[in-house]
Amino acid sequence: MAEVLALLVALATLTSPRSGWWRFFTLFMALTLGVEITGFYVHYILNRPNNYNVFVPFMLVEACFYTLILYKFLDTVNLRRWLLAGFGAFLLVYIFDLAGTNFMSYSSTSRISLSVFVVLFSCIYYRRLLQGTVLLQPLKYPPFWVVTGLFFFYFGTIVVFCFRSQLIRLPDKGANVRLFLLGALNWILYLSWSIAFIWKRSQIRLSKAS
Amino acid sequence: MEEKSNSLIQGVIIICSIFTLVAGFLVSYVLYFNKRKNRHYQEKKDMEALFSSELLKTQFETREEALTQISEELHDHIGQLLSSTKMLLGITERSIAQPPATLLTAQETLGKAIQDIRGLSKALNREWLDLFNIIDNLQAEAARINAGQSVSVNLEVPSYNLPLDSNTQIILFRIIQETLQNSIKHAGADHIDISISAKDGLTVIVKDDGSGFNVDEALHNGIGLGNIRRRAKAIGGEVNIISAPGEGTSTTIRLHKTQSI
Repeated sequence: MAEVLALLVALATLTSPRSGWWRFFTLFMALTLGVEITGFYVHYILNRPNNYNVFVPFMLVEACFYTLILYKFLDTVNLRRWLLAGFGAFLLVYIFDLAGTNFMSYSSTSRISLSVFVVLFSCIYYRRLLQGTVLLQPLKYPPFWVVTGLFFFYFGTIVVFCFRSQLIRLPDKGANVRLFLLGALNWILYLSWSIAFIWKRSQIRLSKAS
Repeated sequence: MEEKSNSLIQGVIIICSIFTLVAGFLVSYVLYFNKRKNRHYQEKKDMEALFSSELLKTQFETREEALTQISEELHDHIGQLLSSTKMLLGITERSIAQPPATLLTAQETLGKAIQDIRGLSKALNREWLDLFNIIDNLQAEAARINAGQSVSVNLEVPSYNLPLDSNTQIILFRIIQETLQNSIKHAGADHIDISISAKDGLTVIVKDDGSGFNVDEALHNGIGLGNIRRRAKAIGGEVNIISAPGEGTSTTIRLHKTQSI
């Protein structure tokens, strides 16, 4: 539901050519929704317990998209280089992790390393925000909301993925708790993004008017 | 087994909640410090604006004081010397049965010089200018320049008084005075039109038929135009200069709102 809401808001606010690269959010949200539906279909309709082969490749798309977002939001060449280096490190973990499991299971290590990557660069973004000399109201600033959504989601999910293997051993309760926690964090992420899209739209309108 | 799974679930929920709270705390910290940073920058900006305003005020007062001193010197010293000389020439004229024409011309020229100096002394004296409104002062200034007969100044002003405070009137008068001086001294204008309209704020247009100049070059190299702009800004206005070599100059001073310094 949270993904549907964010996609609808993105479609309503970011389709204008003036949105620039922000239009990629619409594409990303559509892709996310498609992956979620496919995962649901594989798990519940086809009755296959493991739908990792849907989510694991998508993790790479997520990482690429988050790198793009943070690349656009970080303003110095040096930090952008570090970001790309961080992405490279994640890529290495991802490949080794998948190779280690012979591409046959969900890679929690990759997921945790993606979380660490996103959380680390979100903190760097916040630091740059505080160092900046421009008078800024973060609550009306779209990049702040995007990064805040990512920060909450990936900071919270570190715990879920750290305990993933233990929770999987508890078939009913474990799955329910995992789904509940991920669902709650999903809402935080996509509500934050929806707010960001709305502010972005408002900024575009203001710049158009002036 | 059941107890173990329950405690694991509780543990995961608690740790996840703590992580989310920590994330919330970090974001609140960013917001709080950003607010403090914004307040700090705003205060710094306000202080800079205040400093700039105080500096301008001091410059304005110093300049006015210097002009008043020059005005008093012209009136009390040079004016008196010229008056004494005119009196002596009058005595000489009366002591000679048939005074030469050159003596009469000298006396007439001296009389004109005394009048010009009195006019100039008044135009420079802040206390004198304060006795009248800007329109009266501009009319006196136009009359003073027209009396020289080398340049003609045409003034179009509204019939009612302009709602300007004393400082704004003086600064605006000085801006127009400097523009007139530029037209006469640098552009060699023969004719200058001054028009004032008070629709949507106040607009003063000074147009001359002088040699004109390249505005961009003058703004980068000249001090006078920068001074005019700074003074206009101090009273909440802006200056727009349109000119080109050989095409005269049109200077528009617009006050959207008047502000006292």
